[in-house]
Amino acid sequence: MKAKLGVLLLLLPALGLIAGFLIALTSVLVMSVLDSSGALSLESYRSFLGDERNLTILFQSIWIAFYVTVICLILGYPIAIAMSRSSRTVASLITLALAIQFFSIYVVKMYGWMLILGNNGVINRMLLGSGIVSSPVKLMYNELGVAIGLTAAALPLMVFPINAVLQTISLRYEEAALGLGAGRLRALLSITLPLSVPGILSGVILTFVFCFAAYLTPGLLGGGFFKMIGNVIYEQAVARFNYSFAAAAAVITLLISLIAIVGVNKASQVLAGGRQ
Amino acid sequence: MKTGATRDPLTIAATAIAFVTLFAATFPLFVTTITAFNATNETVFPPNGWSLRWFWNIAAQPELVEAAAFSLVLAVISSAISISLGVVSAVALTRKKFPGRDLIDAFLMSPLLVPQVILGLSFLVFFVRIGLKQPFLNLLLPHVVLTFPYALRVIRSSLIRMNPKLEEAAVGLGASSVKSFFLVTFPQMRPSLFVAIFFCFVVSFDNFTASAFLTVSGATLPVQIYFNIESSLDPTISAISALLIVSSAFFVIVADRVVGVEKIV
Amino acid sequence: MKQAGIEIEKITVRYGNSVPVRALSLDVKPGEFVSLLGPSGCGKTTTLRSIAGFSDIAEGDIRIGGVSVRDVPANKRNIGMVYQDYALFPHMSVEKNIGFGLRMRNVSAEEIRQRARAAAEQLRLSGFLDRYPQQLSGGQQQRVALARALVVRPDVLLLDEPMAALDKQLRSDMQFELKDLQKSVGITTVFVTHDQEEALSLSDRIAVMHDGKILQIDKPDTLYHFPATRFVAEFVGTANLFKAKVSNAGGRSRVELDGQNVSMQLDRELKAGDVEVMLRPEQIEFGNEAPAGSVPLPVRVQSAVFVGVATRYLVKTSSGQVLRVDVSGVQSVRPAAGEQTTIFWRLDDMRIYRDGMLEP
Repeated sequence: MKAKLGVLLLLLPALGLIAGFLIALTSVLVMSVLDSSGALSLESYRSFLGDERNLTILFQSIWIAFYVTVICLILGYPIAIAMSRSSRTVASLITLALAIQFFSIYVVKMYGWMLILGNNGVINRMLLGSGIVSSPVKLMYNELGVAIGLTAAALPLMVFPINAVLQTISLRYEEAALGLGAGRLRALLSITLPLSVPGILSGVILTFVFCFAAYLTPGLLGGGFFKMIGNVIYEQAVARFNYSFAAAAAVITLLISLIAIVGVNKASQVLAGGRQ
Repeated sequence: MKTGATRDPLTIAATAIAFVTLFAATFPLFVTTITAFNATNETVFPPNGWSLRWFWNIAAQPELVEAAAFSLVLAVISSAISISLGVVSAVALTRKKFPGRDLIDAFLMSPLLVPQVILGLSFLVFFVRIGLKQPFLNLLLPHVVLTFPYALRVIRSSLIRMNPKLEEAAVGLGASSVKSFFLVTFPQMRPSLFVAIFFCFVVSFDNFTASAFLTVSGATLPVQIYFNIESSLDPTISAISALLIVSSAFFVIVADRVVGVEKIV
Repeated sequence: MKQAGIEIEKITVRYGNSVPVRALSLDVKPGEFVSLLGPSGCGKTTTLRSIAGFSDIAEGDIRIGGVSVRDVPANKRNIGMVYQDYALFPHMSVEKNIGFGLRMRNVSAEEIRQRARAAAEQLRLSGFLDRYPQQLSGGQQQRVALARALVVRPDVLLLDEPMAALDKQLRSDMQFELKDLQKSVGITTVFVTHDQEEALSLSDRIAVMHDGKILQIDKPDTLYHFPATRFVAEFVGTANLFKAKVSNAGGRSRVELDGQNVSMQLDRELKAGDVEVMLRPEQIEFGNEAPAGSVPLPVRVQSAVFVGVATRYLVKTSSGQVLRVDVSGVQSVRPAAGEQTTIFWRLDDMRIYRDGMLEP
């Protein structure tokens, strides 16, 4: 009994901190169902869902998060494979490059992409200089720029969990499959890929939620021309002090994120079949 | 034994994709750094002439210098709090068995599940409601909430991997449980503490999204850079970015030398 | 089942600077069970992996059924391999695991089902087809691994320390089962182990390896009684070794043990010089009178340990050398610790090594 009391005392500060956070989170929920006079009302939800512009932004946020997640998976899986199977030197070089990219300041990374994609950026200067085009190609301040920025920002979120799982899968399994007559590709697809599903799932969830609720990337690379739901929440809360409306949008964002997380987990249980 | 696998065509193809993708992903960092050396006020790559003037110009922009100092102090203090809480909580969660332990663990890790816009908005609404308008505190609390789960996760996983028999053996040899913690467990935790400090510092110093909601006055460095980018694109931004890129690359390489890069990813 | 022999011709395997296998040759006859026995790091697993196609050979050639497989990738070699940790696919049921090799050979689903079930029955796994590997005991997992390897009707079966993860009782049961299975299927088998008892009880022939080379390959009893080198004598079974000198007179040799008052007249002639004499512990007897043709040596019993099938003694000669003596049977003389007594052995049981090599 005394020991348990001690544990509780040790955990108390952390529990208090996170409880504080949950109270703050709850205040958003409460704020979302209050109108400007402070009375209980669903007005904010009505005005958010009733405005077609908001719905368009919501759906294009879901859509861009979805396809950026797919792109990250297609690019990230080979990177994780290379990290777990190349020779030590190559693997640590790849890991180091990815870590340097990941730990660079997010706003700086996006600024770097602006220098590449802008009208006076690296790509357009190259295209104009070589005479392939006569006026700059629009590579940012649109959906394309945001998609590129999100892919770059989210890629490590996909690679790291997949790599972590791949590191734990013994190469013996794939070798045993080769010994039983499977080709390299078939061994990868029928053995390693299914065994790495837990890593893929965490990667997919992290990437999707990160992209869906992004604010910085669409802010810089969308430049107001391509908006995502995060921009709507920020503008309403910080620029217009419309806390109730921002809160309703935030609750909807959180709900969609949770539905995505639960959905992906359910899908994994179906994929796993009879295995516990 | 990795033999065989390293030379198979699939691994070679994967490695090629990795190199191309990572080149593309790190290229903007390179471009940013180089544009800081532009001679004129055009931020272009390749530079139209070389100079160091934009680096000196950082000092001429007090809001950047102030934001940098502010972010540094914020990152140090929030990391210190998170690491202390992380060590204490991780020990309690790992060394003692009690009902609801997994639930408490999930509860403490929950901030990681919430998108940062929502986390930022939550604290904004919360502080508005309770009427707390204190630039530093308004950021410190969310930063501790953001960094604490990383500290807990890193320290806890190192404690789980540690052999509990070692501490038992020390107690069996006559050490008190407090002594055995400091003489046996704590020294083994050092690499994970290093990783935790690294993570907390970077997460706090790098944070933009949550902080943007809470910087009415007194901006953090990433938020200040964002404002500057929105207002103009002169190479001073490249200069401060270059300093940040070089220092974070430096810290990643130091971390690689100290604990191995695979520990921090 | 078709039987294929394996001919390994002077293969060398290199990993960077290390050379785990050096110009190794080995012939395994069709249907034969050969063990590769040796301490860890001797190259036995690498040799097995080069037969399987997982380790590239830098020099030499390997033929299976007379056909060179040097340039045949592992997945085209038609081998069955069982790993120490079994490497059962954790995400597949027992039936899917067993059927995997057939699926890779594009066998029809119906035939895969039938053959997998037949293989499962042969290995007493019929009740476990829908289980997953992690739900099985170690012995069951091993039988799944065997079924998975055999169901594709491989040319050769390669076993990489498959018993190492099992406890002692199960291991000895599985040894009998494996031997029966191998004989009934009649498949050529190469078995890697560091456990000499396992090798002695299972194999038609044993190849003792050291430092990337085969030191001796022989039938188990030959290997035990006539170890070709001192290393083999010490690695397989227990060896008591005396330093000794050979001198010659009248066409016959005399062997004198260093520091002991023992001299033995051989009926053959060896080269004069320094040698070592090897005796197995069970070839030494206690007694007060030397039987005809045996060599006596007074000793003092240091300790005696009863291990069931025998009593193991440590005895010390007057010069201070410690010997191991095993006495089995109920009737034998069993001195107590501390007792002064005499040991005997027969000249025929004694092996003589010069520079580590057996003298004829």
